[in-house]
Amino acid sequence: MKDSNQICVIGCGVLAIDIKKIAEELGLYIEYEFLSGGLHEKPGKLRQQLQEAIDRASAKNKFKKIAIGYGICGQGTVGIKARNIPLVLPKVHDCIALFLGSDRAYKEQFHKYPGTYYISAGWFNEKVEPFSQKKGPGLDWEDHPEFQKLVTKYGMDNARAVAEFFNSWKRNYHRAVFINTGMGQKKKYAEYTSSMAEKFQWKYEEIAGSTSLLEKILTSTKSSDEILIVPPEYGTVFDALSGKLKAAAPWQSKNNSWEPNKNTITVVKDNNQGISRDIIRLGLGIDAGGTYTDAVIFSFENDIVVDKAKAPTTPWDFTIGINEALDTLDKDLLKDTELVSVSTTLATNAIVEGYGQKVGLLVMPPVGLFKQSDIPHSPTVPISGRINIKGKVTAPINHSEILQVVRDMIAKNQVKAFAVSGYAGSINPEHELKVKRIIREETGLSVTCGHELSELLNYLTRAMTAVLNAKIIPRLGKFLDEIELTLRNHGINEPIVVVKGDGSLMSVETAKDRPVETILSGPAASVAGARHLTGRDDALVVDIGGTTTDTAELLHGSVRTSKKGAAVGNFHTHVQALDMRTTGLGGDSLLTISESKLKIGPRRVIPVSWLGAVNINVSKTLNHLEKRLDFIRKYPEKLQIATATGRNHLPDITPDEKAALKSLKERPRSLDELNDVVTITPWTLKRLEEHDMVKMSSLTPTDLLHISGEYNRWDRDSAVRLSHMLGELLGLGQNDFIDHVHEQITRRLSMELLKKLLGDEILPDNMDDCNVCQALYTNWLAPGKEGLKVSFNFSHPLIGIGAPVHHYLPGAAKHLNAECIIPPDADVANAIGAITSEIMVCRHVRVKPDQEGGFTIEGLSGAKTFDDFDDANVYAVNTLVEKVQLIGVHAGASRGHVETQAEDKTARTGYGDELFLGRTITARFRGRPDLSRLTDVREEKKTSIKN
Amino acid sequence: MAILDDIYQSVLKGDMNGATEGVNKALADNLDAAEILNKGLIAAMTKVGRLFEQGEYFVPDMLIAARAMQASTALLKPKLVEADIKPLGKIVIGTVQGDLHDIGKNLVVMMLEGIGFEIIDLGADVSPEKFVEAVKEHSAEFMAMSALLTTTMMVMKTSVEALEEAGVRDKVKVMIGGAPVTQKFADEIGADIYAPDGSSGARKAKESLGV
Repeated sequence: MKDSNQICVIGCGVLAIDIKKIAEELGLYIEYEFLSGGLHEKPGKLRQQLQEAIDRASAKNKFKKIAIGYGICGQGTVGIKARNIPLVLPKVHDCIALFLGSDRAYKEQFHKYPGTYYISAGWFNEKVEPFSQKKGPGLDWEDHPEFQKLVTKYGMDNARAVAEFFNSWKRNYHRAVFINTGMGQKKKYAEYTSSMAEKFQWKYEEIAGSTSLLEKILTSTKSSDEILIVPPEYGTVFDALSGKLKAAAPWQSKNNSWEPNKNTITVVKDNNQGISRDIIRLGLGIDAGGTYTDAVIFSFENDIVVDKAKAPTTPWDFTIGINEALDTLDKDLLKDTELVSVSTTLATNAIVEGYGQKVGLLVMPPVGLFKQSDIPHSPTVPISGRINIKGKVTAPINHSEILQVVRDMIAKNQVKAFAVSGYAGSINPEHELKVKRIIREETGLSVTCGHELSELLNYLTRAMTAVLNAKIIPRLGKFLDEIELTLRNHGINEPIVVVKGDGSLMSVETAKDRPVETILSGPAASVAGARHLTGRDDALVVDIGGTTTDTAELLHGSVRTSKKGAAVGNFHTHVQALDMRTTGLGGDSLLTISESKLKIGPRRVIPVSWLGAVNINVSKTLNHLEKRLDFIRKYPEKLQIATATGRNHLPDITPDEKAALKSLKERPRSLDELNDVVTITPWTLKRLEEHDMVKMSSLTPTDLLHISGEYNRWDRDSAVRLSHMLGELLGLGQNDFIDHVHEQITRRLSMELLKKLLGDEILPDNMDDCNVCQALYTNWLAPGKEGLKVSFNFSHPLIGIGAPVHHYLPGAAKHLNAECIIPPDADVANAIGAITSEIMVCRHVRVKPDQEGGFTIEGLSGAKTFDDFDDANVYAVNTLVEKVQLIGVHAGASRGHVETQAEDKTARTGYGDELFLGRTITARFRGRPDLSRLTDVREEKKTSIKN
Repeated sequence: MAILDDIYQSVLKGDMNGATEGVNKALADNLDAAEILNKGLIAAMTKVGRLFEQGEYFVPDMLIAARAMQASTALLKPKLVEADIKPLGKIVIGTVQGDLHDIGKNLVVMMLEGIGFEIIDLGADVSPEKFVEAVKEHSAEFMAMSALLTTTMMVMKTSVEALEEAGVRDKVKVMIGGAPVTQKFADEIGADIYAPDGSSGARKAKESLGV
């Protein structure tokens, strides 16, 4: 018998009866050491006793292996090892799985009745019988040793209340199960279990157990899904990903064999991406911005701007401004352009102004009450079809209900397009897609689904984003058709691409389906242009205009977008658009005095030097102001000049407004002067200003640039005179005043940049009210406490664009110890960005552990679940890559490459193990617009419309 | 006031009869119900919580004090309703889906009630959607979740996502606790408050209101 004396079993006492019987049936001769049942409640003690038993067994040097009769058991088996002998363990959580024969069988039971009290032969022998004889702690807390102490201290009544509280778990249990593995006194165990069920009013069940897993512990020679063989010197570790035990070599991490993937980038597909760019020699970039429309002809061969033009934007019909800009460009060059790219504020304007076609919204809300007031849109109708947060369908959609709702909306509300959004739609879009297909088939009208525009959570915001999109479809479509016509009139028949709010491009056909994605495309194009002009991938791009300074970030070669989605007007959307910080600081910002200090902006006024250049009467107004300077000292805001613009269209003009206008038509006047004509209240001029009939003029940074000679376009004299006055009010001579303003602008700008940089971590404007921040500012930007200097080091460059940027940005860059780049052609960076940008499609999916076992894919139709993580991962990556390629191709790029990125999230639990929270997979497609592809897309669309 | 101090001491000692007698006497003396509640009962439970956190009191002590408090509050109830005294806030609470362990959660409930919150107790094994529904239905200010198993901790994350998805995440503060739960986990899933035990949970919930 010596030969078969090879196995030592160390295990929990509750397994004794089963294991002994199996060994006997298999004819194995085994030595046993059973530890007392219940050690899982003190995992530290379990680990210690188990390790000691292993050490004893291995010291005997007579076994071939040690079989461990424990599961993870509260992590008590994590970190055990044997020096010279392999260990065999079952990959289960606890002994119930061992009695039932597999982890899966246990999970099935758990899923059916999480609140089950299990009894097996071994449990009865080890845990029930000894205690019932001793009358020790059972299932009733009144048997607990603490109980008597409580009775003494607080009386029987209170003690009973405490006991009842601790016994309350029994109410959550619904079943008592006897697992019959065929061992021992089956009848006795069954009777005990059923009487327990009766006592606590649970359901009783007898389930056939299985000893197959216990057999495998004794017989397995290789690791498998169910069994773990730990080689000598190796130790057990807990694998967060699978939630099972694993073997780890001594040099591996002690706690966890699995290393979370923090940020790995893999290039999946890399097609020869330079080709399309080589074909296109000349491109035309157009930015129809808020104030100006810019156009550039860009030579890809030489990477330079060969011609550029600017014209005022005409918001009532953008094509007029575009036409004007195109007219000034070289006609021959224009004819040779092969690709046209357009960015526009049209979508933004349409949303803010509330234009658009009537949209019917169908929602599939979460279970429970839905109120119309949840969504600020009418008509909105909730329909059947429910998906839970894990992406599982809990109620199907109803085909005939959808038809009814859609027909009603068309008949009663004159709906022209539809939007669909459902709870959990971005996790599993299958319902939205089905509803879309039904509506398309029934009506032929356009349907926008929430999940198509956003992967973020919040089905209400996705619904509103889809509604806004559906609303402006015809408007952007019309605009793009008109542009095509305008271009044709200039001899250009080439395909058009449209800039998105993240600075990347899409085909006209994609843009017509997803117009809402063009919001903020102008500023995004500027940032993309800054990237092209400087070749820098990481930078802070600062655009100083007349009214505002806009700051946005270039990160890894892309325009950084706002994580939560862009806000337009009063709407919060999920549109991925650039994350821009805007402040009222620009070349035409009003310089005034507030609380005895210089105040710059946020109001924009006409520079007095400009007014002086176009209206010689300004000198009279300045004469008046100079005489009244002592009075104005008390009211420095009166150092402003109102001027009439020549427009006359206010139907219900009041007598005061009429009088003021009449006086201003004679010549510009200061507010103080105007007071002699009418009583000036804050709102006297407000309406006239709103209707562009009156404009305010005063001293601005642009005027000071005239004085210093850095700029000389308009009337320097008016600037000098007004600056004398403001300087005197501040007690500063001319040069000191100019220096002071320059210094203040540089500081404001520096602070804006710092706020932008810290904006991810804090609400930046809170810094204004924080006295610690103020103290740090002082010691950073001004001579503060002697010997102390606060400094910042920003390692990315600052790229400046916009007319006055070179005057102020270098100073701010110095404060941040950052490189400052102001590229030539920065004034048309937006149009350059439009034509030089690329097509980019970025999508995410998540692989999440499912509570019931396996891994679920969130973000792809169907919310598939896989048993194995690797299978889930491969499926998710492949499907996602295919998806972004398909969208990318439709957006106009047949060549490009896809990068995927995987990021795992884990957290350490209070029990010390690492919990896997899920993996986010990102796939990013990038490619240049491809002429042949764009032409194909155009043809496909035309064919599909004909059909 | 001596009578309020008597009530306070009785609750602290877990003396139910003493506490209810005190409340009856205070009411007979025409004392303001809100004052009895705040200065007598709630003050005592706050102290009980502190003693628990300091390791002076154990769970049974806390339970018995809470019993005294509950009996006393019941006597005050009509007066409180009459005077329209509002609770500190509404808290939807439950043990997450797949987890039946609710003793810890019940302790939190007791302490939250003890310091003046209104509780909507969803019990154990509460699905993410059920939490969301209750938050919406009751316009709750807090959503509190408990889990005792590492396997059910994940459901806390899912439940926070459910709030977000339903568009109500910004309307509630999310509070989590339970043996496997850690501050880092709370940060990772975007919960607002992490409480290692019932007493500190109640304290932190109250603190988060700035009162």
